[in-house]
Order: sequence, then C-alpha cells, then structure tokens
Amino acid sequence: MTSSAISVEGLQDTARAIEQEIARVIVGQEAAVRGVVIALLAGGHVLLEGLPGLGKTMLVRTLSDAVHLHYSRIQFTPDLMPADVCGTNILAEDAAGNRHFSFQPGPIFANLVLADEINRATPKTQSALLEAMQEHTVTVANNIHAVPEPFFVLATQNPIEMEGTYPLPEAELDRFFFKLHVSYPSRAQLAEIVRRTTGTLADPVRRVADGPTILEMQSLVREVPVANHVADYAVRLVLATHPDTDGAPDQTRRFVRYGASPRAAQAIVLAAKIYALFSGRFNVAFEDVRRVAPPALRHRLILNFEAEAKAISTDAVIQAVLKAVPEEP
Amino acid sequence: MTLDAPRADDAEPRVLWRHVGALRRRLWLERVLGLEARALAIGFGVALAVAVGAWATLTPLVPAHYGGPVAAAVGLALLSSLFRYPSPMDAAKAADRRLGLRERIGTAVELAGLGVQGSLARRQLATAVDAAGWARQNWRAGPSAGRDLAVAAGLGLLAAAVILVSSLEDRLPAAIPRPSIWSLLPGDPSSAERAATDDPAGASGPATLARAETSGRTAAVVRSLEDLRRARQSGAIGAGEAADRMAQAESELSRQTQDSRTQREALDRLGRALDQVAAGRPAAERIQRGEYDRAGEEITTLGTESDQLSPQAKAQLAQALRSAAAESQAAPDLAARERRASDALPGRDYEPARRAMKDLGDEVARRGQNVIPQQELAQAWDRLDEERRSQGPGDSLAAAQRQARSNGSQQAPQAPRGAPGSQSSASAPGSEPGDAGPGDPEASGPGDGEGADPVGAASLTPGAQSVGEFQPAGQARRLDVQGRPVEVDVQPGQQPGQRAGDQDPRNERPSDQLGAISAISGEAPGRVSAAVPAESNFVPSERRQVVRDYFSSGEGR
Repeated sequence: MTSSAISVEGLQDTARAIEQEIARVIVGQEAAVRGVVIALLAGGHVLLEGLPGLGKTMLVRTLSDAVHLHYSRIQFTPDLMPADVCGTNILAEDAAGNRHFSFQPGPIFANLVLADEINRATPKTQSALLEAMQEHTVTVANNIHAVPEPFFVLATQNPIEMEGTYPLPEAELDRFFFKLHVSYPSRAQLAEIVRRTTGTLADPVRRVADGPTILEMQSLVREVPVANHVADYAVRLVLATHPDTDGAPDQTRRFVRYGASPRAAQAIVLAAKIYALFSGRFNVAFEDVRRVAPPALRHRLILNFEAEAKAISTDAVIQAVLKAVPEEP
Repeated sequence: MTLDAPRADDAEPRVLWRHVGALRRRLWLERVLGLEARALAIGFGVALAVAVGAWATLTPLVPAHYGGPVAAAVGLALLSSLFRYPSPMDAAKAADRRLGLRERIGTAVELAGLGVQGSLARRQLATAVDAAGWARQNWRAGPSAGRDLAVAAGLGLLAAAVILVSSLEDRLPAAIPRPSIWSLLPGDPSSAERAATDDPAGASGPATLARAETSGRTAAVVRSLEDLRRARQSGAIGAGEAADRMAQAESELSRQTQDSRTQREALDRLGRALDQVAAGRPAAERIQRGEYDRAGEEITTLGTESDQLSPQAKAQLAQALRSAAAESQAAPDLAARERRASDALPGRDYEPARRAMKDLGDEVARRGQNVIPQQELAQAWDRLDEERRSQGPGDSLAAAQRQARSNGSQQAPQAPRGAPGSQSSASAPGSEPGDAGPGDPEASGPGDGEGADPVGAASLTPGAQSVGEFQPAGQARRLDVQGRPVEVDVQPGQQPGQRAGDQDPRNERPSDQLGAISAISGEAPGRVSAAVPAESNFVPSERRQVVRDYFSSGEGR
C-alpha cells in the first residue's frame, strides 16, 4: 500500500474548500454537492437528476472551476453520434502533401465531462460513454486512446419530458457511482438564488485544487481502513436488493426485478470511506454505509411492473432494505 | 478470522490489546451474569411449575423439588459461561455498539491483528486506543442485563410466593380451593376413593367430586396438631401441656364435627321430604350426594316451574316441606323457609311460591357451605388419633370417644353405608356375644378390626368395606363381623335399622350426649358402658329396606 503525499487534513481542507466554493454559486443542494465531491474523490461518475433550472449544469461548471480541471460539455441530442462524443479519424495532409488519418479527440477527452441531458441521445450514443467511464479509454478504429486523469463524468437527466428520450441502459447506469437528486430549493434558498443572480456579479470561483491534487486525494481515501464486519454489512445490503436472495426483505421480493451489481458494493464501501474521512474518522462505520447507500443503490435497482404500477420508488425499497438488514448478522 | 496479539512492535497496538483485554473480561462477566439470570429465570419458572403442581395435586413439597431445578440451571449456566469467553472482536464490537464509538475499536482490533500498515491505519489505531481507554472507564452493561435480572427476580418472587402458600396452606384460615380436576390426578391418593364414594355409579360426574374437596375448616385443628407434634418432637413442651393442647384440638374438632352434622342433618331432612315427591327428587338426590349448591339450584328451578305442577303434587310437596320444617328445630332459618315454601306452594299465586322456593334453595346452598366434607373430617380425626398414639399408649375410652365422634361425622347422606358403621348398628341389637368378639381395645375402629384407621379412607370407601359389601334387597347376607369390633346406636329406633331421631325429633341430641354402646363384647344396648361415645350412623332411607329384609330374614340374629 502506498502512502499519499497529501495529508488527511489536507484532504479534508481541500474537500471542504471545494464545497465552499461551490456553495458560493449553488444555493443549498448540500447533499448533491457532497455527493459530487465524494464521487470525484472516489473516481466515480455521477448522474444528476432534477427538474430543469435547478442548477445541475451550473454545479458541474462551478466544480470544474473550483478544481481547475479541463471541462467539456456535451449536449446530448437525438442526432448526436458516438463519434461526436469520442472523436473520429479524419483525413489529414502533412506539409509534404502526404495524407493520413489523424485522430480528432471528441469532447470526452476532458477531465470533467458534462453529459447534459444524457437521456436524449440514442442508446448507441449513450453507449459510447461505456468504455470511457469504466476503462478510462476510448477505442477508435482499433486505436485505444486514454482519457486524461482525473476523468469525471457528470451526466444530467430530466425526470419529466420523457417524450423523445431514451432511458439509459442498465449497463450505462451501473457505471455511475452515484445517482443524485437535485431537489427544488426552499423559499429561503430561492430568495438567496434571486439575490445572487440579479445583483452585482459575484467574485469568480477560486481554484482550490487541481488534477494532481485530486488524484492524490483519490489515492488517499482508499487507505481508509474498513473492518470486515462493516464491509460485510455493505455486502449484505447489496445482496438484500436481490429478490431471490435468502433473507431479502419483503419489499425487495415484491418490487425488485434485478438487484444491485457488485459495483454497488464497491461504490458503497468507497463512498463510506470518504464519508468517514469527511466526518473526521479514520475508519468506516455502519453509519457511513447507511448514509451513502441510497445514492449508490438507487440507479442500480430495476423495479418490476408492480412497483411502477404502485408508484414505488427505488428509494422506498432501499429504505426497506436498510431497515431490514441488521448491522450484525 | 482469528485475531491474535498485535504483530507490530508499536506500543499502541499493545495498549489497545490491554484495553480490549479489560473489555473482554467485563463482557465475559456480563455474559456470566446474563446467563445466570436467565438460568435463574428458567429455574424459578420450573420451581414455580413444580410448586403449582404440588399444590394442585396435594403432593408434599420438599426443598429438593424446587431447589433442584434452580441449582441445576445455575450450574449449567456457569458451566456454559466458562466456554463463552468473548473474543477481542466480540469485546470491541460490544464496546463500539454500546458506547457509540462507530466501529473504531473493532476496526483497530482487526488492524492490530493483521498488522498495521499505512498512515491512515496508524492514525485509526491511535484514535481507537483512546476510544478503548475511554470505553474501559465508561463501560455500559447491555440492555438485556436489566431485563433478564428483572424477569429472574419476578419469577423468583412468584415461585417463592407459591412455595410459601403451598407450605402454609394448612395454616391459612381457609385453604385455597383447588380446581376439582386436580382431584382426579393419579397423584392424589384420595381422588379415586372420593369419586367412588361420592358417586358409585359414576353418574354425577365432576359435581360429585366438588363436594369431596376440602373446605379448610379443619385446617386450624390440623395445624395445631402439626405444631403440637413438632413442639413435642423438639422437646419444647412437656407431656402435660401436650395433653392440654391435644384436648383443646379434640374439643374444637368435636365442635366442628357437631356443627357440620347439625347442618347436614337439617339438609338431610329436607332431602327426605323432597324425595317423597317426584318433582323434588332431583333436588333430593343432590342433597343426598352432598351437592348442596346444585340442590339449591334444583329447588329454585322447582319453584320456577311450580306452575307446571299439579295441585296434588303441590299439596304433596307442601306437606313434605311442612313435615321437614317440623323436624328442623335445630335449624330455625331453614325451618322458616321450608314453612314459607309449604305455605306458598298450594296457593294460586305463582310469584310467592317461586320466591319462597328460591329462598329455600338459597338457604340450602348457604347451609351446605357450612357442611364439612366427610373426607376432611375423617382426615382431621385421623390426624388427631395419630397424634394421640404418637404421644404414647392412650386409653381405650378416649379412642372410643374419638371413634364415635368421627363415625358420627361420617353420616354422609349419599354414602353407600355398607361401611362398618351401618353394619354395626344393624347387627348390634340382636347380635350374639360370640358374633363380635372382644378385639383389641386399641383397635376400636369400625374397620376390619385392625384399628389403625378408625375413620380414615378405609371406612369411607366401598373398597374398604371389608366387613361386607352393600347388597341390594333380597340379597342380604350375614355380616361377617365375628371377632371384630363394631358399634351400634345406643338408642336405636323402634325397629332395627331405624334411627331414633327419625321417629321423634325430641331424640335429636348432639352425639356426645348420646349414650353409646360398643358391641365389642356383644352387650345389649342397656348394658353398654356409658363411657363409650355415641355411634350415630344411620341407614340411608333408600337402603333401610335392605336392612329390614336382612333382619327380618333372621340372618341378623
């Protein structure tokens, strides 16, 4: 195990600074911001879901400014092609007049990629992200191109206006570390938003971190120890989302068609480590697991028709699972 | 995963191990206490069940019965706890859970066992050492400890109370009545006898058994006898005082016997009166069986249905009640109600008749509550005799007095008195001296001549009729009493087998005022020593003909 250059205090300070900088622009949404930062430090990707105008795009842009990463935005539309995302080979001519194919990188070659309204692109285009999100590489014409590190995809989608959209395939969903809800602001928050956006321009967001710092932080958080019985709790939580598992709660048996994948357990434990560090601890507690389980699980549960007919949300199933699974078996 | 001592040479893992070791000891002690508390709860529960069972089945309760389960449970728990010493991880988890340490110690124990690597792991270990030290100072018992102790204490108190009640039952003013079903248990030695005695045909069912239960009115006497025995055995009292206390107990028991007899005789007279009318026979049968509550209900029902009776039946019933009232001088309340009922029955108004009969039924039920069951009286007298025998050789006179009293108490109207008392009364008037030879003076009981159980169960049960079973009319045979002690009425009726009091109310006297004879030597009534207590057995009405046939056939002479 290698030790990271950044200290725990440095990590905590940097994370806190990132959140503070984002908070200078984004009013409220603390949970979403915390989730985004956790995913960033975990090296995962985030699917942001919320109504239009709630600041999803602004959140991503602010984050890119705060961490000083190469930011790229892709507006997903039905006619967007994979090559528009990943890049393509184009015919180029050198000074000698020789023609050859040259790879023109797409917008995915950035540290921080905003896939705006990702569900408006066709599954073919959506799937263009799969390799990049998981392998951090892009294969074009048998040539593998690595995306820059850190690589962080933030996708947004609108839960309404479902006409003309293409629900993300399960494989794509599973590659997102967290799925975060961006909720409507409260009255006070809305008043603050109005005050900030209609007054004099505020100071620009300060850069509190950079790519290498993020990578060091990503390395450090993995050193947080987690006891076996705590990791086992996370595993049992994931297993409890499978309807055919012994001891699965009744809600799971009734409403879940497919449970969470092993990536969910990985995401829970890794996110719990980061959450523990944010809480000033050097070990993962059951509480951390419980706290990060909903965003890590909610997009990984595939509900059945009965659940849809009864308007049962994945969050309700997750809460049932959390209630049903004891900390100690 | 097995966690051993820390591999690292750092001091922190060792400090952590020391703290965790202390936590393990505390957790183990707590487990021992918890196991013991549960074991005590189980032991007390078993003891409670044993005590209740013993109380219900009249089984004597000795300390081993209730102490054994408790001791066994505690021992097993102690043995089990020896093999349940908690692991370091168990202790760490318990501390984390109880003190809200968020898995600090558990994670550190795991790290220390596997070898600490990485800066974060070391820092985690450092925080865990602090947390473990704090946990040692602030250890909190598990939530189940108090609950287990409370359950054990509650069960223990309950068991102690039941055991106390069981042991002191006969010292209470009135014993707690047991459910009648218990009297049928095999463990109750007298249940079958009682059932057979009360209902030879087995027709009356559990109601008959209910009368066989003890009333507890003789409990004080029995308790005084017990105290006397203990005091005598311990040498706390002298012979004179023992004799005085014995005399007091005997006097009290005599009084109770006489009271009970008075009540029962009054009810018997009413039963005989009712028996003369077809509509009153159910009530009469109940009275004969000693089921006075049911008899009261039958009489009330008879009054409720009096409008269904014919005028002749009403008149007959009224006449019978009037006759009973005339004979019930010793029970003025009952006589008054009988009289009122006899006055109201022939009348045209339904309501007064119904009310009068209901009052009569209530009086019968109330009076029946004062009748002490035969078994209880017999046992009390038996106890008294045992105590007297244990004091030393007693005189035959006293034994004869006791015998006479106890026999007088056994005049259950329902009992198939082919038992010795009735046989002796039947045989006495004409018995030849040789028929009843002189037996052992001590063996003055009416039984088989052994004299050891003058009033016990043997004299109450058909199975104990060693002298001769009851035979229906026409099948009477000679009583085989030669050489055996029997007793007869000192004032027999005008005819053999007829009780004097049946003919003349003026003859109704307490038993101790009745002259008594003993046919031990075959003496005629007029020549019987007056020192022998009265024998007041009588032949039940339904069996008198049997006795008459017996004597008229000449076999009895």
